[in-house]
Amino acid sequence: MSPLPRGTMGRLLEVDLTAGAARPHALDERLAELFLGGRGLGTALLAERFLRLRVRHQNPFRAVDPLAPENPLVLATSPVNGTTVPTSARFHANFKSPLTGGIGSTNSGGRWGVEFKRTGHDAMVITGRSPAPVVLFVDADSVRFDAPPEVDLDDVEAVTDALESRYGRGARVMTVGAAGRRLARIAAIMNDRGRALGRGGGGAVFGSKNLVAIAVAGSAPIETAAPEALRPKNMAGSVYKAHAKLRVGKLTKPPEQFGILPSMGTLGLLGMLSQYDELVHCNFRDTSHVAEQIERIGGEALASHPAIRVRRRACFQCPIGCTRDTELVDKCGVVVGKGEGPEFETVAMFGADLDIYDLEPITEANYLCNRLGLDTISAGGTIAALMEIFGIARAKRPDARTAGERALMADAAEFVRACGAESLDGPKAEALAPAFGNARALVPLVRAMARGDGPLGRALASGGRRLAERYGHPEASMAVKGMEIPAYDPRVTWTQAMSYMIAARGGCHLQGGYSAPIAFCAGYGEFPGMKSEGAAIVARNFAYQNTAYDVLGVCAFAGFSITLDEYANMLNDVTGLGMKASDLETIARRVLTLERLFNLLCGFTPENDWLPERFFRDPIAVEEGTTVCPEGEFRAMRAEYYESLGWNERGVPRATTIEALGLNAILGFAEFERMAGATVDAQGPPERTS
Amino acid sequence: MTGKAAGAAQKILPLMRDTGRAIMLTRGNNTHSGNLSLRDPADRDVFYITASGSQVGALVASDIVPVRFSRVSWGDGRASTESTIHRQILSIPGVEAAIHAHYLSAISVSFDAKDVENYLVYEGNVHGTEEFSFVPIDRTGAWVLGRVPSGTYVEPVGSKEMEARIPRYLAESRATLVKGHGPFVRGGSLEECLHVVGVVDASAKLLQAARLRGVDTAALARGIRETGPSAHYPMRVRAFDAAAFGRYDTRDETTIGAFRERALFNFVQGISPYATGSMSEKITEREMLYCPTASAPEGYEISILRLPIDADERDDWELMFHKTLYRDTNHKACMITQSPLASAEAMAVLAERYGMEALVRPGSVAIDYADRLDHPVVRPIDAEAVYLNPRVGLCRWDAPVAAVLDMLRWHKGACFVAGVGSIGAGKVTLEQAAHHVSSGESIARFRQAVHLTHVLRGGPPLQHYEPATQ
Repeated sequence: MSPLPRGTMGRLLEVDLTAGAARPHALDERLAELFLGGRGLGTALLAERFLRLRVRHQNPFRAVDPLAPENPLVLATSPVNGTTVPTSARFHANFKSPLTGGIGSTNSGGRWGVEFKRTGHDAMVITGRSPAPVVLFVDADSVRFDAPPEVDLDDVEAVTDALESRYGRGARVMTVGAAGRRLARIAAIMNDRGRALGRGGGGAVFGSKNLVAIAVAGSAPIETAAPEALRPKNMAGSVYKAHAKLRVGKLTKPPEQFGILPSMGTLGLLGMLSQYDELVHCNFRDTSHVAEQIERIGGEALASHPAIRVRRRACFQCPIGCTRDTELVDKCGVVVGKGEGPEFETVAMFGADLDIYDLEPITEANYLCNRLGLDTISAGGTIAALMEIFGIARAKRPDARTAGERALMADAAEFVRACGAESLDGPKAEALAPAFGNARALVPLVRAMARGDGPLGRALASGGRRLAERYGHPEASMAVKGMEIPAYDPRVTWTQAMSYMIAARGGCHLQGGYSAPIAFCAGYGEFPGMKSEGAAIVARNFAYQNTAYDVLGVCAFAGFSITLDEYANMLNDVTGLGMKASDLETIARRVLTLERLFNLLCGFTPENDWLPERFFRDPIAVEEGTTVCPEGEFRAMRAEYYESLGWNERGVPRATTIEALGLNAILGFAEFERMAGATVDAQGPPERTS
Repeated sequence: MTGKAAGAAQKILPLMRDTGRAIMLTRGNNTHSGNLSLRDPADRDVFYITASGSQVGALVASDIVPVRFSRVSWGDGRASTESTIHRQILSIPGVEAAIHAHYLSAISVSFDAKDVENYLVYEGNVHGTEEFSFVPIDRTGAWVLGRVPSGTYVEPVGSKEMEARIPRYLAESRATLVKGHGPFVRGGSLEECLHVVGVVDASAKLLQAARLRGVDTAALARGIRETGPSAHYPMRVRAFDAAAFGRYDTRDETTIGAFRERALFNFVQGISPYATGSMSEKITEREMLYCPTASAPEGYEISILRLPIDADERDDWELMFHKTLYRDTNHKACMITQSPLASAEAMAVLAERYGMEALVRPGSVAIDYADRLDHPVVRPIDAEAVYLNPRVGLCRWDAPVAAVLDMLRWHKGACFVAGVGSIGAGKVTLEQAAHHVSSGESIARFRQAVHLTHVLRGGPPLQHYEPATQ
């Protein structure tokens, strides 16, 4: 077994909230070697902790409730975090997801991860539930369980202000808002105010532990193997070369050179997406937007909006600077709201998806999501499902409505009354009705969702799938494995569709591979968006790439300009390892396979690797004619994807795959079979090396 | 793409596509290198550029992206990595189009050093970097390009440094070379840009070939730089004029097809860049059909003009030559091409026979063309050429027209003119003339290969392979 690579701190912090105890111990060298860091290390630690629960459950993966104290919350950093490697601020969270019932896996930027690492730890595993609300404070010398601040604990801003004041300016705060405290299944964990470990309901897991916040203040240095090579001004060094590529990449080059992300933030992608017919509209009814309306909510609009002041900011070691701090001002110039964002996905899901083309309510809704701790993608997708069902119900005569539709109308009536209207009829109620295009309903809906106010608020907080089932229209849920799909319509980009389908955490555009941009960014005409031959392999290769980013702890946006080869060089200069891009791909495959095993043990089947019916049934208009996802071809692509990862036709990793990837050190195949309660084929084609 | 952007892209797609394909066919790019841009004549705040990662040789509508001068827009997210450089170039008054390509010879000659100056003239250390000039030593290059600044860049791909310096160079020159990366050219149209970039590469190819054959190209380049192209090559080159193309004074489809096919062949084979050279056929005792280019890619217009063969003082040198040929010889067809390899070989043979002074100071070394037995010639060494024509006539650029005509009479219609190119003449068809200029490049190529093998690896000298017969 190899010694720990440089860049790691060598320690794992175990926190038992029930006992009020925290204990550091040595990081397992075997795990570090196999999984490196970030999402890899976090997934491995989560799987290990679940396996330990076999003392209480035959199959803890299936048995453990995501909101039970037993569900671990794992926070993991990576060796390059905190070094000069560009965008090396990203850290990862793993847990069993209350939204999907499978693996929860989510990533965030900002500064918290670096600061946590500087406390001398690579990862933290939190179990149990504190008997009373508690703040966990970690620095290089100690871990403390402190009383919560005397502020509104539902407000991320208030908690963060208070704890920064308590622990000093260098302290970084992670907390949840009202959504997490009220166990909303789409609650986010917030860090550094406006950053989010957004997807999968991690905020509910955090809140279920009676954890108010985790504050960190680090001081430990991070040692690297080749500091001279990591010096940004060393032209022969790996970091300089990476920066040189970032300075030239069309999405990442500086604002004075019209780089999209630095100039306009992530919202700069909106106009391009719409140009190429990819942008969601009305709960994926179509992708048709009026160009003039899109221009009102695109990056150019935000940059010059009369009511929104914008300031550019960058994450740790990031030359791109796509972050936007904003202030909403009224007609007199008085600031009425401020925060980070809105980002592209937020505007896509609160704007384009809901047929709302007004940045002011979108921005205000975004601030609410930051302050109250909601995942904006899931929030937007859930509201879209609600609006679709509401439209169906309202179009019917009352006596023709189904039971679910009647329930929705009743809940909506209660909602508008709570907002000050008398009933669903009348002009005031009309402004609040949850209908597509109704911008004035957006902020009240988000508030109700975060707080779980009333039956409608609680339905919204449960996510789109549960909401749609409650109101009798499951077909309105645009989710995979129960997690809402983001802004890219899968009918226009089949490789992205594959990633949505097979990503372990659910409808995700990143972790299963962020391939949508090749349709409009890369210009590789030989691979159009709607083609099945080879699509599975492309999707898999993007999955490797994005998983590697999560393992490395770097930002996917830098990947528009830097390849895994450049990252491998920088990783080697940090760690002293001699990795190639192909080694990172092997680690990625290992992580994907372990995530797969986790989900299978939670009870997932290939039927969960599928898109909502709408995408197979309802064609949409694009420039070339119409497009839909053809079912037969998608089944074939799914099978090819499985095969390309060394999984069988049911999506079960083969024994040979588990062995070749060294996963039997964590979970042997025989053990997996016992827990899964089924026999899966132990034979398979011989392993191919990458 | 939808809406307005899609409509505009469709309109200019044919021109961009044909231009990109033309560059690809002449090895000006690999699959995904290079970029083209064109201003929108209707909206002056917009220009169109090829997308990043597009195949310039196989463009489709979605590869043509609109970008604004005044502000960042969605197109910037898709536009070529070098879009910021194009933005600056297109801001030069009078510039409507720009091309950047990775032509092999243009890049090859940029690998030079100040203490060697094999191909480039060292200008000094300017703003902390080494600056050179590529000075074409052939007539077409000298007139079309003049001095081509060749810069060394710390980051030679899409950098701010390139954005600052390249437009500055292009404000004064039609072309500039980026060391190790290739030429950027500008023009009043995409067609003009294709013409200019083709001349850059052909002149670079000629320069490299001449140098490798032992010609002191540095001395030549310095001489031309000091005296100017018109002093060294008094035969003016016709300025590019897009309006000159598209006129057909014949309706005969066979004739038009034949001229187009010859122009396409010469273009694709690299015998002459677009809008250089000329070709003609005598159709009556008094008239000819004249095409003011010997080279054009598919999709580009040529012209076929019906002209009298009587001398006219307004004629440029090439038109004058065609007319004189038809008045004074029995030839029926003629083709003049830039033929970089043939032209370079001609320089080398003259230098070997008469010394470098014959090229650098031509007025100081007279060449006797009248001796039927002992005038300068180029001796082919490849089998086909030896079989067809064991000797090719050879003249210096300042040779009297009568001397060139003699060469064509004595050597089956084939003549290399050092610094000018290749002249082919046929008694029956244009194809005969085409064959001469085409095989002329091969002749030169084989001779160069043998010479290099001899010099570098001790192989037999050229004389070993040259045919003994006259």
